[in-house]
Amino acid sequence: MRSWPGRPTRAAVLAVPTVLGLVLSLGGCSGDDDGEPSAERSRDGSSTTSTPGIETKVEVGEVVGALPKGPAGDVARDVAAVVDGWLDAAYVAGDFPRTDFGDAFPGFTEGAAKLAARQRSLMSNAAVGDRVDGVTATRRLVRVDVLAPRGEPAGATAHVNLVIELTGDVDRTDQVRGRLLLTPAKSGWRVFGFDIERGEVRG
Amino acid sequence: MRPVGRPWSRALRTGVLALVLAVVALVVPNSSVAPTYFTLVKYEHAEGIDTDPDVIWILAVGSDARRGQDPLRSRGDTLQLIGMDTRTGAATTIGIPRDSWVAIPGYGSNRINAALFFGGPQLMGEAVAGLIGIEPDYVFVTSFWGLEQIAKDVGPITVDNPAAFSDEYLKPKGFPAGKVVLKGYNVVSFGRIRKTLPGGDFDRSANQQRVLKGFQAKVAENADKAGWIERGVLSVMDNVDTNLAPAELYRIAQAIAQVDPKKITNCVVQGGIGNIGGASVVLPNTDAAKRYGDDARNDANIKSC
Repeated sequence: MRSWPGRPTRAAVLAVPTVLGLVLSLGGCSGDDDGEPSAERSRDGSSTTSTPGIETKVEVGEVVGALPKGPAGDVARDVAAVVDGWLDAAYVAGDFPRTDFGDAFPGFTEGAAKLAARQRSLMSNAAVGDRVDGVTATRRLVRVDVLAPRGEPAGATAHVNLVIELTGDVDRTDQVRGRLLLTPAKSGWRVFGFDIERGEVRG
Repeated sequence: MRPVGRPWSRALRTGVLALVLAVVALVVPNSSVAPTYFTLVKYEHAEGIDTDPDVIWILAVGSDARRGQDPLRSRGDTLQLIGMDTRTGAATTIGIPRDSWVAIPGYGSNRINAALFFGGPQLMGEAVAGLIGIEPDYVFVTSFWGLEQIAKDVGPITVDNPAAFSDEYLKPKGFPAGKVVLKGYNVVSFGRIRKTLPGGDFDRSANQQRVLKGFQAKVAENADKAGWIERGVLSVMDNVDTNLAPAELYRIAQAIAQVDPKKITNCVVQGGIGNIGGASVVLPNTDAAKRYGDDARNDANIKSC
């Protein structure tokens, strides 16, 4: 049993009103040496970065805890960068036909990566990669809810909505949607869990 | 006086009205159908939570502290040892009657609920570990009013009540048998009433497990709603004393959301009623208690009670 450190301090922070409306547009590939995305801020506070193909639209969802708008946007940007890394490595990037998906889960904890690898047919394009010539993302949306008791980010839920057009022997449109669950670590935000569904869609 | 129109003008108005309605029907989409870009043909589902260890044990303690008293130094009257296997989605709850006569490290033998009074959550966990054979990773201690506030924050839960019961002080109108929706205070009273239940504290413990199951279903049902889990975590932080960091609490909340309802097992440690030093106590079936622990230790599953 974990030692009890005496009476813990109760969080005195109550839920703050939802922060909505701050919309950031980010991409996952910045080209920076440290791997951080470089955002270009626009007049309305949104930001974009360039990435091959469609840009990821990032929204700040609900912020629970006393975290101001600016830092909440920073959290969303950082979380989205991790999510983007997965979307690219698992679905969009790489040379198709592609058979190697061993690096499909960057930003995942070791345990979460193992869990995802066991379900790689949904969590990546592993099941169809060798029969696909090209993958084009036509929708990339990430909405980030943030838990920040006392103003300190402690958890984030990234709601993901990705639509990809597959061409080749497999010719169809798929949607990947659901949640990635992240907590902060020394190396940045890490995915410790997921709840994702994938399906074929027809327009 | 009501004006009387000519038949032809009434027919014209009716015709115009029909035309307008027809145009509206064509132009305005049916409000009951959300506009979509795509039709989802089929989908499959993947999920997982990485925790260390894979099987998490939480001791949920309901303190009997009254307002003004320290919940961490009162008696622990609700004792539920909860296990979750995040690899499989299995979960189990082992209920312990509060009057169980057990060894309390450093304090001889006493009712198990006294461990919280003697040594706080740490000793409470050790006393439970002595009975069940599983040391909880985490201890949650809440009060009557803390649980009520969480219940208010979370919203209504549904429990499956096997038999109607009431209490003239806590719930005079009682709870009917069957599916019962509980809110706020009623969540507390459902898990608190003891005297009128045929099995006394054993039945009460089972009712507490029904409340926990109701909470789990509520969490799972709402996990994908924006900010719902986050708000729940904050409510727990405000109303529960725990040795968890917020990030750990968030992970556990997400793990609770992925519990498979079909893989939940519940048992209450049974025992006989005895008298020690003039006090009525429960003499727990320690063999059964150990068996529950041995059964569930590695997979959060008890084969049978």
